[in-house]
Amino acid sequence: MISELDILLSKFIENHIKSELGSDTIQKIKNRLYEKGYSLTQAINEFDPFDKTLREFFGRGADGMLQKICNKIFEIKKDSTGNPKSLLIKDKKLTNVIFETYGNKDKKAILMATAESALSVSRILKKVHLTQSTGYRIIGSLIDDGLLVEAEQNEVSSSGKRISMYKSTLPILNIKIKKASIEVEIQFNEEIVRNSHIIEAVMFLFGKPRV
Amino acid sequence: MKQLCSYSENPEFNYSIQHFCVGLERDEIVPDYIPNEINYKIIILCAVGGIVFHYSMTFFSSFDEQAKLANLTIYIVSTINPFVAAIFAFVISGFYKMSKTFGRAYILLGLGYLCAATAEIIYGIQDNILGIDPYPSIADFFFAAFYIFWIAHIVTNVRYFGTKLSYENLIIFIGIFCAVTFSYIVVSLYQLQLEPDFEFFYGLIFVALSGATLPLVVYAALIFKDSALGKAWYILLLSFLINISGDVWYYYLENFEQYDIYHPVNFFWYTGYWIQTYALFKHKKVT
Repeated sequence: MISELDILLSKFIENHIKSELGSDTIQKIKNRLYEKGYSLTQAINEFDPFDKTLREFFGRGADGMLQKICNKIFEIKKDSTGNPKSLLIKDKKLTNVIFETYGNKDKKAILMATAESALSVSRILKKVHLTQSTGYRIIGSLIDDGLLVEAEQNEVSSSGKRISMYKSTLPILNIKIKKASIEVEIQFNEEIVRNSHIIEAVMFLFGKPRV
Repeated sequence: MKQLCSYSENPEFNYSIQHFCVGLERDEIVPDYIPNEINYKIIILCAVGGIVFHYSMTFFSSFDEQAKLANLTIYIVSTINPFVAAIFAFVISGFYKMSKTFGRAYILLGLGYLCAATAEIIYGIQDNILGIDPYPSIADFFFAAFYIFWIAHIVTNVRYFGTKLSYENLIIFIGIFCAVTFSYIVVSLYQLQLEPDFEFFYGLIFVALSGATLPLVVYAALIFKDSALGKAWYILLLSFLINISGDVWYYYLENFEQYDIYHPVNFFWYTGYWIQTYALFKHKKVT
């Protein structure tokens, strides 16, 4: 099962690699993953195939690369016992996307409606009182930004048709504005930590005990 | 199998499962490692080419009618070598679309080779046309800049992929720098009978620069060891060892004004640049 947080982070990991090494390089990494039967998102989510592929390309350089990826995109804050407590987003683009999204009344309403459980599009539109055209446009924009994802589970209509369900990738957020900068912190609960392979891999890779 | 290979609404899932199914149909075997073998024939060809070129020019220079042409050919080839490497580096940088690590690293490398080509042009004009001793001259500023750009190229690469340097590695790198620099000092001072002059200290600057660059190349080769990119860096390391050997020998020769364009030391530079160009090609093939 792919964690929603991992889907969001994997999008920004891909963008980070593209900006550092170029689109040709990320395409070659993707091609190599496809040969092994993984998409980039799946590979990042499982982490081991992603890590192994980076090592095929860059050897020990993959360690430094993963460290830079983590340092540039997010920082895991730990509690007094060393367990992950929250995730501070350091990628400015991601921070701005989140901030702008929660500044938009309709987008915020959709994300709050889908924070606890996945809903179908029709239920989302009903809950937040949006028209179909506006609702579909906003939902499409949230999916493009990685803030809303299709959930694993689906609804089945009365005619037996499968209906996609959508869930917010960000459950609990703290948004702080410090002088000129915006800080976005995602609070963890046990479910997020348990489901996110990226968090687990980062904690393991950089010498911290597994959660 | 039919169900597994049926169409899904998720394009990413669809791509990977269809690719998997096509692979099963073709009995395709996914290689364990990314293929990027070194073609040693090309390296041998570069070395043999360097020897053949050098000795054929030396042979032609013994004939009065061909001497001027041989001189000109040597200067043209000496200028074209770094110039071609510069074009390669800039083209590769373009392919990386000015990305922060690879794009910038190859721009810096291209600028370094351009400095080397400029230095060769100035050297050639001073020696051939103006008839003045090209060592020392403004050309040396560009030769020094070549090393500085090389260092910047490696640092840009290593900054992204490197982790904290261990003390053992640091000691080895300092050892490499000392070995290169002291080899020049010891051999030169022995011949100069412990009376160093201006040429000795001037040459020491360039030997120290090449001595400082070599450990960085070794460090980068260690980082990318056992990977597809590691092969390109091994070739680069080999070419750099060849270039540095030439450089150290050259500055030693200049202490006694024993260098000329027909001296065997030139072979190191011809071969070094050709192998570096091959290494650039191998790097882009992987990434």
